[in-house]
Amino acid sequence: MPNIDGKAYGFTAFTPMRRWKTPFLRLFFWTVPIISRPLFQKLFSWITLVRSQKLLLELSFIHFARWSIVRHDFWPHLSSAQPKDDTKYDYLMFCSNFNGTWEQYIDAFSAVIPQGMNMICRWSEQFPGAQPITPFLGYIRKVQMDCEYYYGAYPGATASDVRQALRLNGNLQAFADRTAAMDPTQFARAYRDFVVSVQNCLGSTGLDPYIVDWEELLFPGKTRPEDIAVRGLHTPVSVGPVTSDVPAA
Amino acid sequence: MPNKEGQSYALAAVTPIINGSTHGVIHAAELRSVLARLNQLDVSPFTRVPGTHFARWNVIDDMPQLGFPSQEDHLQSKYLMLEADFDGDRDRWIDGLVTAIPETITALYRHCVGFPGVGSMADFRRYLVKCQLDTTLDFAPYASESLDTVLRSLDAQRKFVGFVQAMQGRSDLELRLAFTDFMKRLREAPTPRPGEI
Repeated sequence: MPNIDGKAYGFTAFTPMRRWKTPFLRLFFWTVPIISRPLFQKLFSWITLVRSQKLLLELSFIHFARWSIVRHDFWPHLSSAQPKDDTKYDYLMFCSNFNGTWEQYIDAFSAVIPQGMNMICRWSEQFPGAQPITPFLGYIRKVQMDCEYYYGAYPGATASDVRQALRLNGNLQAFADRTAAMDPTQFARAYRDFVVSVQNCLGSTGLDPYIVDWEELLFPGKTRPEDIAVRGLHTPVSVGPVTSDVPAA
Repeated sequence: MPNKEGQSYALAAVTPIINGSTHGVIHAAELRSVLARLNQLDVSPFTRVPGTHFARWNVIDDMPQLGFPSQEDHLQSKYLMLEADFDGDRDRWIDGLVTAIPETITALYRHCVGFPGVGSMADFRRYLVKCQLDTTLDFAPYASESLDTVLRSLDAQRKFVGFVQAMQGRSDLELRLAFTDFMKRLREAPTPRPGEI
Protein backbone atom coordinates (compact mmCIF):
# COMPACT_ATOMS: atom_id res chain seq x y z
CA MET A 1 0.00 0.00 0.00
CA PRO A 2 2.25 2.81 -1.25
CA ASN A 3 0.47 5.63 0.60
CA ILE A 4 1.41 4.02 3.91
CA ASP A 5 4.75 3.39 5.58
CA GLY A 6 4.28 2.03 9.09
CA LYS A 7 2.18 4.57 10.96
CA ALA A 8 2.65 7.35 8.41
CA TYR A 9 0.29 8.12 5.53
CA GLY A 10 1.43 10.16 2.54
CA PHE A 11 -1.40 12.31 1.25
CA THR A 12 -1.20 14.23 -2.05
CA ALA A 13 -3.96 16.31 -3.63
CA PHE A 14 -4.28 18.79 -6.50
CA THR A 15 -7.28 21.12 -6.58
CA PRO A 16 -7.99 23.34 -9.61
CA MET A 17 -8.42 27.10 -9.19
CA ARG A 18 -9.42 29.77 -11.68
CA ARG A 19 -6.31 31.77 -12.46
CA TRP A 20 -7.67 35.09 -11.22
CA LYS A 21 -8.22 33.64 -7.74
CA THR A 22 -4.60 32.58 -7.24
CA PRO A 23 -3.32 35.98 -5.98
CA PHE A 24 -5.97 35.99 -3.24
CA LEU A 25 -4.86 32.58 -2.00
CA ARG A 26 -1.22 33.64 -2.22
CA LEU A 27 -2.06 36.68 -0.09
CA PHE A 28 -3.80 34.47 2.48
CA PHE A 29 -0.79 32.13 2.67
CA TRP A 30 1.45 35.17 3.10
CA THR A 31 -0.53 36.20 6.18
CA VAL A 32 -0.44 32.77 7.87
CA PRO A 33 3.06 33.02 9.42
CA ILE A 34 2.12 36.46 10.77
CA ILE A 35 -1.20 35.25 12.17
CA SER A 36 0.54 32.28 13.78
CA ARG A 37 2.85 34.44 15.90
CA PRO A 38 2.13 34.13 19.65
CA LEU A 39 1.48 37.85 20.18
CA PHE A 40 -0.97 37.98 17.29
CA GLN A 41 -2.70 34.86 18.62
CA LYS A 42 -2.98 36.40 22.07
CA LEU A 43 -4.45 39.67 20.83
CA PHE A 44 -6.76 38.37 18.14
CA SER A 45 -7.71 34.83 19.16
CA TRP A 46 -11.36 35.97 19.29
CA ILE A 47 -11.26 36.02 15.47
CA THR A 48 -12.25 32.54 14.27
CA LEU A 49 -9.75 32.50 11.44
CA VAL A 50 -6.88 33.46 13.73
CA ARG A 51 -7.90 30.81 16.23
CA SER A 52 -8.03 28.17 13.52
CA GLN A 53 -4.35 28.85 12.77
CA LYS A 54 -3.50 27.93 16.34
CA LEU A 55 -5.67 24.83 16.10
CA LEU A 56 -3.85 23.80 12.93
CA LEU A 57 -0.56 23.91 14.82
CA GLU A 58 -2.14 21.80 17.53
CA LEU A 59 -3.21 19.03 15.15
CA SER A 60 -0.78 16.60 16.70
CA PHE A 61 -0.86 13.91 14.03
CA ILE A 62 0.97 15.79 11.27
CA HIS A 63 4.72 15.29 10.77
CA PHE A 64 5.23 17.56 7.78
CA ALA A 65 2.75 19.23 5.43
CA ARG A 66 2.93 21.80 2.68
CA TRP A 67 0.88 23.74 0.18
CA SER A 68 2.25 24.77 -3.20
CA ILE A 69 0.56 26.89 -5.82
CA VAL A 70 1.10 25.33 -9.24
CA ARG A 71 0.76 28.02 -11.87
CA HIS A 72 -0.83 27.02 -15.17
CA ASP A 73 2.51 27.52 -16.98
CA PHE A 74 4.71 25.86 -14.31
CA TRP A 75 5.05 22.50 -16.09
CA PRO A 76 8.73 22.03 -17.02
CA HIS A 77 9.45 21.98 -20.75
CA LEU A 78 12.86 20.38 -21.25
CA SER A 79 12.92 19.35 -24.89
CA SER A 80 11.47 20.55 -28.17
CA ALA A 81 10.16 17.00 -28.66
CA GLN A 82 8.08 17.32 -25.50
CA PRO A 83 4.74 19.15 -25.86
CA LYS A 84 4.52 22.25 -23.66
CA ASP A 85 1.84 21.94 -20.99
CA ASP A 86 -0.19 24.98 -20.07
CA THR A 87 -3.25 24.04 -18.02
CA LYS A 88 -6.52 25.95 -18.06
CA TYR A 89 -6.47 26.23 -14.28
CA ASP A 90 -3.85 26.98 -11.67
CA TYR A 91 -3.66 24.22 -9.04
CA LEU A 92 -3.18 24.05 -5.30
CA MET A 93 -1.05 21.09 -4.32
CA PHE A 94 -1.28 19.77 -0.78
CA CYS A 95 1.20 17.17 0.49
CA SER A 96 1.03 15.83 4.00
CA ASN A 97 2.62 13.14 6.18
CA PHE A 98 0.30 12.18 8.99
CA ASN A 99 -0.69 9.33 11.30
CA GLY A 100 -3.97 7.50 11.37
CA THR A 101 -6.43 6.54 8.71
CA TRP A 102 -7.44 8.68 5.76
CA GLU A 103 -10.97 9.21 7.12
CA GLN A 104 -9.66 10.27 10.54
CA TYR A 105 -7.40 12.83 8.90
CA ILE A 106 -10.00 14.44 6.66
CA ASP A 107 -12.52 14.25 9.48
CA ALA A 108 -10.15 16.15 11.82
CA PHE A 109 -9.72 18.95 9.29
CA SER A 110 -13.48 19.16 8.91
CA ALA A 111 -14.26 19.04 12.63
CA VAL A 112 -11.40 21.08 14.12
CA ILE A 113 -10.49 23.75 11.58
CA PRO A 114 -13.38 24.05 9.11
CA GLN A 115 -12.87 27.83 8.79
CA GLY A 116 -9.16 27.40 8.03
CA MET A 117 -9.90 24.73 5.43
CA ASN A 118 -12.57 26.92 3.88
CA MET A 119 -10.14 29.84 3.64
CA ILE A 120 -7.57 27.68 1.86
CA CYS A 121 -9.88 25.67 -0.39
CA ARG A 122 -12.68 28.15 -1.10
CA TRP A 123 -10.67 29.35 -4.12
CA SER A 124 -10.74 25.85 -5.59
CA GLU A 125 -13.31 24.76 -8.16
CA GLN A 126 -16.45 23.08 -6.80
CA PHE A 127 -15.15 23.03 -3.22
CA PRO A 128 -18.24 22.10 -1.18
CA GLY A 129 -16.98 23.47 2.17
CA ALA A 130 -15.35 21.54 5.01
CA GLN A 131 -18.73 20.90 6.63
CA PRO A 132 -20.85 18.83 6.30
CA ILE A 133 -18.31 16.03 6.09
CA THR A 134 -19.80 13.76 3.39
CA PRO A 135 -19.47 16.10 0.38
CA PHE A 136 -16.04 17.17 1.70
CA LEU A 137 -14.87 13.54 1.77
CA GLY A 138 -16.24 13.03 -1.74
CA TYR A 139 -14.38 16.10 -3.00
CA ILE A 140 -11.07 14.99 -1.47
CA ARG A 141 -11.48 11.55 -3.04
CA LYS A 142 -11.77 13.22 -6.45
CA VAL A 143 -8.64 15.35 -6.11
CA GLN A 144 -6.30 12.96 -4.28
CA MET A 145 -3.36 11.34 -6.12
CA ASP A 146 -1.92 8.14 -4.69
CA CYS A 147 1.78 7.79 -4.04
CA GLU A 148 3.64 5.26 -6.15
CA TYR A 149 6.31 5.03 -3.48
CA TYR A 150 6.35 6.39 0.05
CA TYR A 151 9.04 6.41 2.73
CA GLY A 152 9.26 7.56 6.35
CA ALA A 153 12.46 7.36 8.39
CA TYR A 154 10.66 6.41 11.62
CA PRO A 155 7.65 4.33 10.53
CA GLY A 156 6.94 3.02 14.03
CA ALA A 157 6.55 6.50 15.54
CA THR A 158 3.63 8.90 15.37
CA ALA A 159 4.12 12.68 15.28
CA SER A 160 3.07 12.73 18.96
CA ASP A 161 5.70 10.08 19.75
CA VAL A 162 8.34 12.28 18.11
CA ARG A 163 7.33 15.41 20.00
CA GLN A 164 7.16 13.51 23.29
CA ALA A 165 10.51 11.79 22.66
CA LEU A 166 12.20 15.11 21.88
CA ARG A 167 10.80 16.61 25.06
CA LEU A 168 11.74 13.56 27.14
CA ASN A 169 15.25 13.39 25.75
CA GLY A 170 15.97 17.04 26.57
CA ASN A 171 14.57 16.68 30.07
CA LEU A 172 16.37 13.39 30.67
CA GLN A 173 19.78 14.85 29.84
CA ALA A 174 19.08 17.86 32.07
CA PHE A 175 17.88 15.60 34.89
CA ALA A 176 21.01 13.45 34.64
CA ASP A 177 23.25 16.52 34.83
CA ARG A 178 21.28 18.02 37.70
CA THR A 179 21.32 14.86 39.81
CA ALA A 180 24.85 13.66 39.06
CA ALA A 181 26.15 14.51 42.55
CA MET A 182 23.08 13.44 44.56
CA ASP A 183 23.22 10.62 47.11
CA PRO A 184 20.93 7.59 46.50
CA THR A 185 18.11 8.80 48.79
CA GLN A 186 17.99 12.30 47.29
CA PHE A 187 18.28 10.83 43.82
CA ALA A 188 15.43 8.34 44.32
CA ARG A 189 13.11 11.19 45.41
CA ALA A 190 14.15 13.36 42.47
CA TYR A 191 13.80 10.40 40.08
CA ARG A 192 10.23 9.69 41.16
CA ASP A 193 9.31 13.38 40.72
CA PHE A 194 10.96 13.33 37.33
CA VAL A 195 9.07 10.25 36.15
CA VAL A 196 5.79 11.84 37.19
CA SER A 197 6.69 15.07 35.36
CA VAL A 198 7.47 13.23 32.09
CA GLN A 199 4.79 10.55 32.28
CA ASN A 200 3.03 12.04 29.25
CA CYS A 201 6.18 11.40 27.24
CA LEU A 202 6.43 7.69 27.99
CA GLY A 203 4.56 6.37 24.97
CA SER A 204 5.64 3.34 23.02
CA THR A 205 6.61 3.14 19.38
CA GLY A 206 6.00 0.13 17.18
CA LEU A 207 3.65 -1.45 14.72
CA ASP A 208 0.41 0.23 13.82
CA PRO A 209 -2.48 -2.03 14.84
CA TYR A 210 -4.35 -0.83 11.74
CA ILE A 211 -1.81 -2.53 9.49
CA VAL A 212 -1.77 -5.69 11.57
CA ASP A 213 -5.56 -5.81 11.27
CA TRP A 214 -5.31 -5.30 7.53
CA GLU A 215 -2.94 -8.24 7.26
CA GLU A 216 -5.28 -10.28 9.41
CA LEU A 217 -8.01 -9.87 6.80
CA LEU A 218 -5.80 -11.53 4.22
CA PHE A 219 -4.18 -14.15 6.42
CA PRO A 220 -6.56 -14.76 9.33
CA GLY A 221 -4.82 -16.14 12.38
CA LYS A 222 -1.48 -16.33 10.58
CA THR A 223 -0.09 -12.84 11.08
CA ARG A 224 2.88 -12.15 13.24
CA PRO A 225 4.24 -8.58 13.27
CA GLU A 226 7.70 -9.82 12.37
CA ASP A 227 6.35 -11.34 9.14
CA ILE A 228 5.02 -8.11 7.76
CA ALA A 229 8.26 -6.59 6.54
CA VAL A 230 8.90 -9.71 4.47
CA ARG A 231 5.71 -8.95 2.58
CA GLY A 232 7.22 -5.62 1.57
CA LEU A 233 5.31 -3.19 3.74
CA HIS A 234 8.53 -1.65 5.02
CA THR A 235 7.38 -1.87 8.57
CA PRO A 236 10.25 -2.33 11.02
CA VAL A 237 10.81 -5.80 12.32
CA SER A 238 12.81 -4.61 15.31
CA VAL A 239 9.89 -3.06 17.13
CA GLY A 240 9.35 -5.88 19.55
CA PRO A 241 8.57 -5.53 23.22
CA VAL A 242 9.98 -2.62 25.20
CA THR A 243 13.59 -3.23 26.00
CA SER A 244 15.86 -1.82 28.62
CA ASP A 245 19.58 -1.52 28.95
CA VAL A 246 19.26 -2.53 32.59
CA PRO A 247 20.33 -6.09 33.32
CA ALA A 248 17.75 -8.26 35.09
CA ALA A 249 17.95 -8.25 38.88
CA MET B 1 11.88 31.29 2.22
CA PRO B 2 8.87 28.91 2.32
CA ASN B 3 10.88 25.91 1.08
CA LYS B 4 12.90 26.10 4.26
CA GLU B 5 11.39 25.83 7.74
CA GLY B 6 13.78 25.77 10.68
CA GLN B 7 16.62 23.56 9.54
CA SER B 8 14.40 21.34 7.37
CA TYR B 9 13.84 21.72 3.64
CA ALA B 10 10.71 20.77 1.69
CA LEU B 11 11.53 19.85 -1.90
CA ALA B 12 9.17 18.99 -4.74
CA ALA B 13 10.55 18.33 -8.22
CA VAL B 14 8.20 17.57 -11.10
CA THR B 15 9.98 16.02 -14.09
CA PRO B 16 8.26 15.20 -17.39
CA ILE B 17 8.15 11.52 -18.37
CA ILE B 18 9.03 10.68 -21.97
CA ASN B 19 5.83 10.19 -23.97
CA GLY B 20 5.27 6.88 -25.69
CA SER B 21 7.87 4.15 -26.06
CA THR B 22 11.48 3.59 -27.09
CA HIS B 23 12.51 0.17 -28.48
CA GLY B 24 9.21 -1.26 -27.28
CA VAL B 25 9.62 0.05 -23.71
CA ILE B 26 6.69 2.24 -22.68
CA HIS B 27 8.40 4.77 -20.43
CA ALA B 28 5.57 5.56 -18.02
CA ALA B 29 4.73 1.87 -17.57
CA GLU B 30 8.35 0.88 -17.03
CA LEU B 31 8.85 3.70 -14.54
CA ARG B 32 5.79 2.52 -12.61
CA SER B 33 7.16 -1.00 -12.66
CA VAL B 34 10.46 0.21 -11.13
CA LEU B 35 8.54 2.03 -8.39
CA ALA B 36 6.46 -1.09 -7.74
CA ARG B 37 9.66 -3.11 -7.35
CA LEU B 38 11.02 -0.54 -4.89
CA ASN B 39 7.94 -1.18 -2.77
CA GLN B 40 8.97 -4.83 -2.47
CA LEU B 41 12.32 -4.00 -0.86
CA ASP B 42 12.69 -4.63 2.88
CA VAL B 43 14.93 -1.60 3.24
CA SER B 44 14.10 1.62 1.42
CA PRO B 45 16.81 3.24 -0.72
CA PHE B 46 16.04 6.52 1.09
CA THR B 47 17.53 5.08 4.30
CA ARG B 48 20.89 5.63 2.59
CA VAL B 49 20.24 9.29 1.74
CA PRO B 50 21.40 11.29 4.76
CA GLY B 51 18.89 13.42 6.65
CA THR B 52 15.71 12.21 4.86
CA HIS B 53 12.65 12.33 7.13
CA PHE B 54 9.97 11.61 4.52
CA ALA B 55 10.00 11.12 0.75
CA ARG B 56 7.61 10.01 -1.97
CA TRP B 57 7.28 9.59 -5.69
CA ASN B 58 3.97 10.25 -7.44
CA VAL B 59 3.24 9.71 -11.10
CA ILE B 60 0.96 12.51 -12.31
CA ASP B 61 -0.97 10.96 -15.20
CA ASP B 62 -3.32 13.88 -15.61
CA MET B 63 -5.02 16.54 -13.52
CA PRO B 64 -8.15 15.61 -11.54
CA GLN B 65 -11.35 16.14 -13.52
CA LEU B 66 -14.24 17.46 -11.44
CA GLY B 67 -16.85 17.40 -14.20
CA PHE B 68 -19.45 20.01 -15.13
CA PRO B 69 -19.46 23.01 -14.59
CA SER B 70 -15.63 22.91 -14.42
CA GLN B 71 -13.72 22.68 -17.68
CA GLU B 72 -11.80 19.59 -18.67
CA ASP B 73 -8.10 20.21 -18.10
CA HIS B 74 -5.56 17.71 -19.41
CA LEU B 75 -1.79 17.35 -19.43
CA GLN B 76 -0.02 16.33 -22.62
CA SER B 77 2.78 14.56 -20.73
CA LYS B 78 2.86 12.50 -17.57
CA TYR B 79 5.11 13.76 -14.77
CA LEU B 80 7.16 12.13 -12.02
CA MET B 81 7.00 14.12 -8.79
CA LEU B 82 9.64 13.65 -6.10
CA GLU B 83 8.61 15.18 -2.81
CA ALA B 84 10.84 15.08 0.27
CA ASP B 85 11.37 16.62 3.70
CA PHE B 86 14.98 16.51 4.82
CA ASP B 87 17.62 18.21 6.95
CA GLY B 88 19.67 21.14 5.80
CA ASP B 89 20.62 22.23 2.37
CA ARG B 90 18.77 21.30 -0.84
CA ASP B 91 21.85 20.96 -3.06
CA ARG B 92 23.65 18.74 -0.58
CA TRP B 93 20.60 16.45 -0.31
CA ILE B 94 20.32 16.11 -4.10
CA ASP B 95 24.05 15.31 -4.23
CA GLY B 96 23.34 12.70 -1.53
CA LEU B 97 20.74 11.09 -3.82
CA VAL B 98 23.30 10.73 -6.59
CA THR B 99 26.00 9.45 -4.25
CA ALA B 100 23.87 7.06 -2.18
CA ILE B 101 21.35 5.61 -4.65
CA PRO B 102 22.62 6.20 -8.21
CA GLU B 103 21.08 2.95 -9.52
CA THR B 104 17.61 3.84 -8.25
CA ILE B 105 17.86 7.37 -9.63
CA THR B 106 19.02 6.11 -13.02
CA ALA B 107 16.36 3.37 -13.17
CA LEU B 108 13.65 5.98 -12.60
CA TYR B 109 14.85 9.14 -14.28
CA ARG B 110 16.09 7.54 -17.51
CA HIS B 111 12.38 7.52 -18.39
CA CYS B 112 12.20 11.29 -17.91
CA VAL B 113 12.84 13.99 -20.50
CA GLY B 114 16.28 15.63 -20.30
CA PHE B 115 17.77 13.33 -17.62
CA PRO B 116 21.50 14.09 -17.71
CA GLY B 117 22.57 10.87 -15.95
CA VAL B 118 24.29 10.64 -12.60
CA GLY B 119 27.84 11.02 -13.89
CA SER B 120 27.91 14.64 -12.80
CA MET B 121 26.31 15.65 -9.51
CA ALA B 122 26.11 19.27 -10.68
CA ASP B 123 24.18 18.33 -13.83
CA PHE B 124 21.61 16.24 -11.95
CA ARG B 125 21.27 18.99 -9.33
CA ARG B 126 20.60 21.57 -12.03
CA TYR B 127 18.09 19.20 -13.63
CA LEU B 128 16.02 18.75 -10.47
CA VAL B 129 16.24 22.44 -9.53
CA LYS B 130 14.96 23.38 -12.99
CA CYS B 131 11.90 21.21 -12.27
CA GLN B 132 11.44 22.39 -8.68
CA LEU B 133 7.99 23.41 -7.49
CA ASP B 134 8.33 25.99 -4.73
CA THR B 135 6.47 25.57 -1.48
CA THR B 136 4.01 28.35 -0.74
CA LEU B 137 3.32 27.40 2.88
CA ASP B 138 5.17 24.81 4.92
CA PHE B 139 4.03 23.20 8.15
CA ALA B 140 6.66 21.29 10.11
CA PRO B 141 6.11 21.13 13.88
CA TYR B 142 9.58 19.80 14.69
CA ALA B 143 11.47 21.39 11.82
CA SER B 144 14.28 22.54 14.10
CA GLU B 145 15.30 18.95 14.91
CA SER B 146 17.59 16.90 12.70
CA LEU B 147 16.87 13.30 11.74
CA ASP B 148 19.67 12.10 14.02
CA THR B 149 18.16 13.97 16.97
CA VAL B 150 14.71 12.52 16.26
CA LEU B 151 16.04 8.96 15.96
CA ARG B 152 18.19 9.26 19.09
CA SER B 153 15.27 10.74 21.02
CA LEU B 154 12.91 7.95 19.97
CA ASP B 155 15.56 5.41 20.94
CA ALA B 156 16.03 7.11 24.32
CA GLN B 157 12.27 7.14 24.86
CA ARG B 158 11.97 3.40 24.18
CA LYS B 159 14.87 2.56 26.44
CA PHE B 160 13.76 4.88 29.23
CA VAL B 161 10.27 3.33 29.26
CA GLY B 162 11.97 -0.04 29.70
CA PHE B 163 14.19 1.40 32.43
CA VAL B 164 11.23 2.79 34.37
CA GLN B 165 9.47 -0.58 34.18
CA ALA B 166 12.56 -2.49 35.22
CA MET B 167 13.31 -0.19 38.16
CA GLN B 168 9.99 -0.53 39.94
CA GLY B 169 10.50 -1.74 43.51
CA ARG B 170 14.29 -1.41 43.45
CA SER B 171 16.24 0.06 46.36
CA ASP B 172 17.52 3.66 46.25
CA LEU B 173 21.11 2.48 45.84
CA GLU B 174 20.26 0.09 43.00
CA LEU B 175 18.30 2.85 41.29
CA ARG B 176 21.18 5.32 41.61
CA LEU B 177 23.74 2.91 40.18
CA ALA B 178 21.46 1.65 37.43
CA PHE B 179 20.56 5.17 36.28
CA THR B 180 24.20 6.22 36.03
CA ASP B 181 24.92 3.10 34.00
CA PHE B 182 21.80 3.64 31.86
CA MET B 183 22.79 7.21 30.94
CA LYS B 184 26.32 6.13 30.12
CA ARG B 185 25.02 3.42 27.76
CA LEU B 186 22.50 5.82 26.25
CA ARG B 187 25.16 8.41 25.43
CA GLU B 188 27.43 5.78 23.92
CA ALA B 189 24.69 4.02 21.94
CA PRO B 190 24.91 4.41 18.16
CA THR B 191 22.18 6.40 16.42
CA PRO B 192 19.48 3.97 15.19
CA ARG B 193 19.38 3.47 11.45
CA PRO B 194 16.57 5.22 9.54
CA GLY B 195 13.60 2.89 9.22
CA GLU B 196 14.57 0.93 12.34
CA ILE B 197 12.17 2.64 14.76
